[in-house]
Amino acid sequence: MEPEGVVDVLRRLLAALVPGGVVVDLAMSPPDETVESGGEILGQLDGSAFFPRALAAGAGLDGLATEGLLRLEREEPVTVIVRYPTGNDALEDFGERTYTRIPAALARRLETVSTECLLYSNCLVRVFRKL
Amino acid sequence: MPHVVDAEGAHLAAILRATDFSSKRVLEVGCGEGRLTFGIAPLAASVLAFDPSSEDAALARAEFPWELREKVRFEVASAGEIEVPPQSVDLVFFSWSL
Repeated sequence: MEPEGVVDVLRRLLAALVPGGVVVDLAMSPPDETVESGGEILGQLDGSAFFPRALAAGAGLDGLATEGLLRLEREEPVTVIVRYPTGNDALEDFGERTYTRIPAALARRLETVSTECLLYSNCLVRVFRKL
Repeated sequence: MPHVVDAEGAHLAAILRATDFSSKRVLEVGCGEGRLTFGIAPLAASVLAFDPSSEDAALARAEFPWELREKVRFEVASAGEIEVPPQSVDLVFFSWSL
């Protein structure tokens, strides 16, 4: 979703909540996701086109909190691991994504990896209360 | 070969630590294939789960445990298209969906 549409959507969804209801936001956060195999870092995916939108969504919630409609109650960073049997499996999945790009150097390295690859994604869980 | 997203269950553990889903009427925005829905549903009173991908929603419906189906509904819609009556849910859960 484009940043300018986020706040409108949030307002509509907030209306669906009972007073005192809870909003849980699980969002991917910078820095870029890291790809690793056998303990060696192979490179990072390029999330430069994605993170501004993700941050805008978070800013939308912050804006509603500033307006006094929500109160931030909890925030917790989480690292999530995706396991791929081989580098080519990782490449296939990354290729289907619309929100990150694969740097050419990382793609070349992944083509040569026949063992398990791990993708480390950084996320943030935030909990808000409707006031 | 298939890949495994969050085999360690870090996402689910984090959201369950973050808040109490027990007996809540949950609106999930961006449920994908239902990976997190599967973990929330046993606790919640009900889950209305949306995803813009009809393929993902169909997969979630197909793979959801039979015993939980009465309290979970998967629908196809983006965040901007969702229409829910006012003050009808206790908890809204966004997962990478805005």
